[in-house]
Amino acid sequence: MKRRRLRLPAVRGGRRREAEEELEAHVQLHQDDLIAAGYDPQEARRIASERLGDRDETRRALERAARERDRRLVGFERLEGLRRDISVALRRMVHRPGHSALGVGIFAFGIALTTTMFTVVDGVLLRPLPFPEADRLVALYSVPEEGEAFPWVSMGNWYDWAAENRTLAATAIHSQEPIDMTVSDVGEPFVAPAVRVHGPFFETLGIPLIHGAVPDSAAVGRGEALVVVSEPFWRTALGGAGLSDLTLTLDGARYGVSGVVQSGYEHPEGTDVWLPRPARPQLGMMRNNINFRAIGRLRDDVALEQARLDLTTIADGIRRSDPAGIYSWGVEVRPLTDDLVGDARPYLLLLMGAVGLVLLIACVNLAALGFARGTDRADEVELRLALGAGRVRIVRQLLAEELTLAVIGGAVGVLLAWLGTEMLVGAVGEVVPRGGSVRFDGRVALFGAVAALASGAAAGLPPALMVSGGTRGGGGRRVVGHRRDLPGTVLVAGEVALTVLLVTGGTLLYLNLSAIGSRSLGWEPSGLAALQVSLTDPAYRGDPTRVLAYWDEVDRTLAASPEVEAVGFATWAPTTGGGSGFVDVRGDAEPEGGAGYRVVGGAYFDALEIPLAQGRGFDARDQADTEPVVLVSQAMADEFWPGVSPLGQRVRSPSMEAFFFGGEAPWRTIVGVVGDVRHFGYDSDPQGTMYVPHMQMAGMATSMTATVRLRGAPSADALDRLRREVQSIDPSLAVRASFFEDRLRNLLAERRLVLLLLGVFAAAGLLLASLGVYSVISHAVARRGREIAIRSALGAGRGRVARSVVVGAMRWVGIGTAIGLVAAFAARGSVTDLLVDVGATDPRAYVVAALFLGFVTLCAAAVPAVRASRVDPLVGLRSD
Amino acid sequence: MSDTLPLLKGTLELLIMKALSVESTHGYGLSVWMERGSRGAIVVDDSAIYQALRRLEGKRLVEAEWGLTENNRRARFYRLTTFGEQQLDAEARTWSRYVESVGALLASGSGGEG
Repeated sequence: MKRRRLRLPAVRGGRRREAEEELEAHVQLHQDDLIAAGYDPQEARRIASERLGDRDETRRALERAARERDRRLVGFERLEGLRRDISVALRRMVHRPGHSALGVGIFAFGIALTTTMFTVVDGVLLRPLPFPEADRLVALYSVPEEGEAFPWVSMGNWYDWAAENRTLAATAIHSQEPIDMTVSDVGEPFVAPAVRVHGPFFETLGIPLIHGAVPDSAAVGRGEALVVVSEPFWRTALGGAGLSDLTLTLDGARYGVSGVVQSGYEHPEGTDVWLPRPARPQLGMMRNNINFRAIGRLRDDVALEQARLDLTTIADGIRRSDPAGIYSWGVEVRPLTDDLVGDARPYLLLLMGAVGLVLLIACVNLAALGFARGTDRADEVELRLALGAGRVRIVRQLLAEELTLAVIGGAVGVLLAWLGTEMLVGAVGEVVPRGGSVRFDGRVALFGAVAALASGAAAGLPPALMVSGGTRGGGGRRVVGHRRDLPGTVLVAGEVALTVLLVTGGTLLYLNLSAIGSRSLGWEPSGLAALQVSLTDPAYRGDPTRVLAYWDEVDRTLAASPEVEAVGFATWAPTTGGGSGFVDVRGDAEPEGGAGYRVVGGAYFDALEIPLAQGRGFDARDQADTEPVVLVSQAMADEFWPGVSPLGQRVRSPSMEAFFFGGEAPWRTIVGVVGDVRHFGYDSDPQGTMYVPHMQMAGMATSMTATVRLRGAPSADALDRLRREVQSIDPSLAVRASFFEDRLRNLLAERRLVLLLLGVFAAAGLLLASLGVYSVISHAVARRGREIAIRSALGAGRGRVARSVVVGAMRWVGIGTAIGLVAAFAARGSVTDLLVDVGATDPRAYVVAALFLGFVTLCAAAVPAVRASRVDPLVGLRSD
Repeated sequence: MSDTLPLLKGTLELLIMKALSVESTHGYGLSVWMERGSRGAIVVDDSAIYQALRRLEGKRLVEAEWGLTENNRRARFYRLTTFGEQQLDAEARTWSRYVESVGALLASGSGGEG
């Protein structure tokens, strides 16, 4: 009696009758009492009625109260229903631990991968920059006459933009990339990444300082030697000392430290030292020195487009008044976040898409399992429907089971993602821009929770609707039941299709990376060491003899080592940065084009194994006071002297050399042609390049890389021995040593990481798809046990029974594969931008995906089929 | 009476639960119990009793069923649920503490005057 029974709320008429009857009963009971007390029956009736007051009004009040009561009871009913659904679901899970663990595992797997990937996407693409009102921060790009906007600007142009604009609250420029400056007053000299900043750089971004202040513009204008440093640099290199009399020696000059930037607010990323410098107008050709990047903060009421129009108008004015400025055609304004993220965006979106596919495959897999389980329970469901249970109730119950799995799996998955993020940050932190802002937090956990619920619903709803729909064939005993397996099989086909998509994409990226890695560089990196030295000590300044003597000494020291085969020098050896200059061959004011510009010395071409195609290389003939000479690369020869021998032709580079020769660049005679190189690594294209002997260009030889070809196998020990030998020549200089192979590998780190992650996702998809095939076939053969037994008993060979099951399944795998290949072909655009040397329609990728899928799913199908065919016919017939 | 109703609102539900904890009864029975139990000091509007009963049903503290009285009249009988029994204990204790505290405050106030 204590147990509460289900009570449906009264309908409207019910509530009215309830109130009427109850009030009538009240009057009658009162009347009875009054009669018993000696009242006349009619008198009693009157008193009782009067006591109750206005019957209609009272009844209405009761109806209102009853409506509220019923509303609350329905709420209770729902809550109780939910509790009941969950407790039933939990009971079922406990009854089938293997199945439940599989479901939870698949959910956890899918959610963990998706959430971990989302953490990265969130940190890099979605999270605002740490600066105040970061959505108003922009990057200003130059727009040339033709072609796309590029992120470099000249001080001359920026100066005018800054002075004349009406849309920016503040703007500043900084040197392109952090430049390496030698810190020589703390222990062994080392190199710190530094940028020069012009204009109100810190104010524009709103960078907070933890100590000191930004040097004021008056002090900067006077040329006071002051720097701002990063918090990590201040703590480690400067020992966190007080700023009042703290100095720092950079490239041999002493600076006062005026402020410390709070950790996490470094811009550009990784900068340790900022050198505030005055901003000055620059005119004419100087406008073309696009050595800076510009940032700005929009005024509060200004939109991006307005700022673009405003600045473009100013650029138009510059073009009219100063036609020599060739990069002044326009200004592009971009959100600073986009500028920082750059080309990581397509990679990240591709990976997020891929991981989304994995989650989808997981859902399809779970739905297939749900169908299989649902058909097992079809009889039970039919019975419940027959007993009057509503369809909604049954759908709810079935859905609750899937959602319970999803919630538990999701919780495990989010936990795994939390651990996975730690791992991934280690891997991506260096490779991806803004890697430092990737972190796991409540927002990521919320994403995981929503993804878990959505995938639970996606996986649970279709089978629940189908099983409760009553569309199955008649109940009772079935001998053959193919139709029941159909939805599960179709889903497995879908799963296979999605996996084909992933495997095709992964294979394309793999082919791409291996094609890039097998490109000819035009120079030989293996066994080649780089020793980078900048002659920053003031003793070298303005003393070319001393500069050349230093490199001579380095050459002799290294060449004397038995481990060394050849030594060369270059201002910009491959992968260590590069400069380009205007090229003049006719001698008029207009340069004919541009080319890479390198100052080289020693046996540079021997060390790098760059072949000499024509003429001679540099030798002892080429001294400071002999005829100026130059070597050109094949591409440069083809570009400037097509069909003519370049030997003996004359060329000069005003933009690179005029400064060092009193304003007039010398004409140089071409004495040889060398092979082309991919200067910036595998990803870059060969570029026309001119090489000038360092003896004739000592002014630029202050910062060079010694390129050392080793005799034996490259080892860290050998590298360190070389570094120490060079270090000992002048202990005041910082020497950085590396192998070119490692430098090249780092340049491909982004591609490699993307490939690795895509490989993991494809493997995950493959695993899930095989699991789907395996379980659907397991269910099919389990239910077809009688059929298989009968066939075996009737003499069908064991192999034949197994074959029929596998063939049936593989037909659907085939359909899925075909759909997947078509989808992969249709979606090829998503990877086209990432491919070099490999087409998005490369047939190898499609063949590999199809064969791989076929093989793996065949294995997954064969296991349960073979097992079923081994069942003793008698046992098979008796069961069921 | 309408002046005292707001005060009685929560109290009325408590009194009904108390009454039902002694014996299941109908709305009329509750009305009589309250009038007699308080020797006529508390006279409650019968409509208020029935509304309070519906509120109690909504909170699942009380449940109802149609039945017959001793002299064969059909009436809606109310019964305290298990949950209602628990709540009654808790609320009765809260009520007592409240009454004690208010009483103590009032007593100290009159002392100060004298």
